[in-house]
Parts: sequence; structure tokens; C-alpha cells
Amino acid sequence: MRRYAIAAAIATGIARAGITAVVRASATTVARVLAACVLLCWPLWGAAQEEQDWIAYRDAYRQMIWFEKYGKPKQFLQSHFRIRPREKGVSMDGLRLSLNSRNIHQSLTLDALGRAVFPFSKVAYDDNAELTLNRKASQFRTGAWVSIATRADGVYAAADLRTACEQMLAYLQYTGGAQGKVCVGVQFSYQRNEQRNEQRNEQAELVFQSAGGASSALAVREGPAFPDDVQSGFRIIAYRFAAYPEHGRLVSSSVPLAIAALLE
Amino acid sequence: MNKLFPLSVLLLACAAAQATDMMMPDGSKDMYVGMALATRTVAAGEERRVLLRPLLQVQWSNGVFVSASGVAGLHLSDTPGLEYGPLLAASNARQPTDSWRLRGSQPVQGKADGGAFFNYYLGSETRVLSNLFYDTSAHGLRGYVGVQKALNLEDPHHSLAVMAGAHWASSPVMRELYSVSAAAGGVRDYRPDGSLNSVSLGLEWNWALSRQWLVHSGVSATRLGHGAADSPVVERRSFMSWSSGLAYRF
Repeated sequence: MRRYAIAAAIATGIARAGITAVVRASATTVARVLAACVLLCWPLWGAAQEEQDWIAYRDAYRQMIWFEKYGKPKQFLQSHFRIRPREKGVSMDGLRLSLNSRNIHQSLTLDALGRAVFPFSKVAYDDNAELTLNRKASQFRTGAWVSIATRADGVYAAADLRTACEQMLAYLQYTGGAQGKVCVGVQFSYQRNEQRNEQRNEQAELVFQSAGGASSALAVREGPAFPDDVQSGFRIIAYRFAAYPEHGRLVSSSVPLAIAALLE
Repeated sequence: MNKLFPLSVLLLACAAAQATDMMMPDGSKDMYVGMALATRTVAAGEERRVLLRPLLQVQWSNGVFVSASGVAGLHLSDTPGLEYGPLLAASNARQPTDSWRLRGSQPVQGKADGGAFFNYYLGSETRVLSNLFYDTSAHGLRGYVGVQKALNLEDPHHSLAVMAGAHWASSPVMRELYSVSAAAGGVRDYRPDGSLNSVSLGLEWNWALSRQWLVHSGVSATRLGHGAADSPVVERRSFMSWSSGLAYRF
């Protein structure tokens, strides 16, 4: 079936490329046979496409290597391969990503934001591997995603977060985005957990502790983990630099899903 | 971040070198091999015919790249967003006796030309392309400056890119291609100076059928500058060329 599907796709590609006239003039019969293949195999091919889709590993590699080769400071940043919905209503539940080739069959773990650690692999590159998705790829935007690294101990020096935001801004500008923007803060996001117990709910998620020892809890609201995401419904906390003293630290009661830079 | 497809403008009429990045593991290569139907690159006095042409583009991790369009080069940049290095380009030989339109023109030797390319990314979807060649047959310079922009499509298996650019040639190159001598049998004397040779606008479409198979299509419109268009050897000032083919990615 795979072979027919390719033949059908090839025939359609040639026809769509605007050279139908040439095919007709030189090989009418061949064109008819190919057209029949298209008609016969198109539904099968379409059905197969519904179930899963692919992204060429080499193309993903070319996107992911930009961050690896970036020579300016980036110690507060992390890079992922990310799959995010194009539109609201596209569910991330059950979304699975794997790396497949002749020699490799590896499942890649996606976090709640659709991010996976990208496997840089010469074997996968040489095999011309594919990243297999169990949904239509056109529903999602895929590619490199850089964010601010989280810490296991939950303690973030205010100065480090400012530096992290500046590193993020510099990287985005290097890749051609965020022109004319400045860092105004960072945003922590947490999974909304319906099972949280009352006691836990009363505990502040994120607290700012000034150098003098005073502490204040930051306000929690609901929204997307990254400002431009359509996927929403996370508990998000914005730490705007101007609203707090320059020196101090933020203490998070749990490891956030992500930390985004706020650029305006 | 780079959304420009590696198999880019392989068959567009302009001879701009389209280098891919060497963003790959050490010792690896990215190779496309296939066949395409294409209109022959239209130069002065040539007939426009549809030909079956090989599709080939290979990029090695050491920076060397070659393509079936007769271009070979070496990437020297290790920085994403910046591409530069030396280039070699094949050129077609031409004799005044090849066609009646070429009467009185100069013979063109089909020697390889040497030069350099410099491409710079303006963000992830747009890059400025440029190259400069020393024409070993005419003993003069020719160059190209253009912009290529990838268009965002929902379907990740399709990619579209538009390209616009201008070719420039110095007097020796323009004269070798377009000058005509009445004494040598031409219809009249014609002797152009160095000038804008042509401007072109192109559209490329790649359709990845699978991670191995790819349909590559391109169409471009070219308009010759006055120096070229006024020559008796030139039949048409503006023309279209296209190509479409199937390639396998190894």
C-alpha cells in the first residue's frame, strides 16, 4: 500500500506542478494509469495520514542546532523540540512523539507543554530518520523552543532571572525575532492540578524574598504558559522586575512547568 | 529556526549558488538525487525547450557542496545565519555558428568560473543571497544579489519560497555575451557596457511526500536589462522558465 500511496502522490505532484500538458502529449496512457492509481489509493492514503504523521529528522536537526551552536551566554536557557497546537481546541492529550529509522525506534517524552529533549544523533541523521507523531502534523507548530531553565531547589536569585531574561532576548534577536523589545519580567507556569488538597492550595506557589528578609506572595492567575500560546489553562505567575526590589530571590514551592521571558 | 528548505532553487534560471548550511553531524551528508523536466536556461539566441535534467544536490559536513546545476562550493562559516565561501560554477560554451541569431557574436568558452558567495539570514525565514564570479572566458566580473523568503504554510510537508534578485555584469562579460560585429557577419554593430544584466522573480515549491521522496518545482520570470535586451542576439527581453521533478533524499 505504501508503494501505491507514493505513486499516487507522485502523480498528483506532477499534475499539480503544472506539467500535465507535457505528460499528456508524451504518455497519455501512463498518465491515465497513474490517475487511476490516484483515485484508487487516495482514500487509503488519506486514512493513513489521519492516524499518524512525520517530520523529517534532518529538518528538525537543522532547526535545533542553532541553539547548540549559539556562542553567546546561555547558561540560564534550555532548548527543546516543541509541538504546540495551532488553534484552540486541539488537544495535547495522548499526543506521542517517537524517533524512527532503520536502526532507531525511540519514544520521546513530551511534557504538558509539548516539549521534548531533542536527541542529537548521527545515526538518526545518517538514516534519514523521521519524527513520528500520532496526529496530523498540520494541527501543530513544531520546532525549536527555547525557555528559561527551571531549578530543582526552587530558589531563583532575582539577578539571575534578570540575566536569564536578557539571555533569552539576545537569543531571540539573534534568530530574528523580538526586535525592539525589552525585558520586563519572567513568568512561571504550573500545571493546574484538580487534586490539590486544601492545605496545599493555601500555600503560596511563588514568594519573593527581599534582601532584608521581607517576603510577599506573587499573584496567581490562569493563562497560557508562554505569552503567544493558544494552549491555556495553566496557573501562571508573572514576576515583573519593576514591581519588586532589585535584590532578593524567588522561592517556588514546586518545580514550575516552564519559565517564560516577558518581553514588551 | 531556519525554515528555508535545503533543496532550494536548484533549477531556477539564475546561476545563484544556493548553499545549504553545514548544520549536520561530523561525517554526515545530505543528498538529493532525481530527475526533473525543465525549460532550458534561456541565454541569448538559445532555443527554449523542455529537457529532462538530473536533480542533484549534495552537502557534506566538511562544508563541500555540489549541485547538478553546475555549482560547487565550500562553506567556511560555522555560524548559523551566515553562509560564505568560495564557489566554482560551470558555464556553457557558445559559438557564433550555433544559431542564426548569434551571427557576428563572440565565441564563449565553457570554462569554469571561480568566485565566492555570501548569504545572510534576516531572521529565520528570509535570507539575503549574493555572489561574485570572475568569468574566466570573458576576463571580467559578474555578480548577483537577491532575497529569498520562505512562506509559512500550515502543512509541514509543503514549503514555498519566493526569490527576487538582480544580476550584474562588467563590460567584458556583457560584451562577450551580447556584443555583435557587422564585419563578422552580424546584423549591426553592438557593444554594451557593464550594467544590470537582468532581474528575476521566482517561486519554489517543495512537496515532501515522505522523508525520502520530494517533488521540487520552481518557476521564475526574468527581465533583461537594457544592455542585454538591446543586443541583436537577444530574441525576447522577458521570459519565464520552470522546472518540476522528483528527488530522493539519501
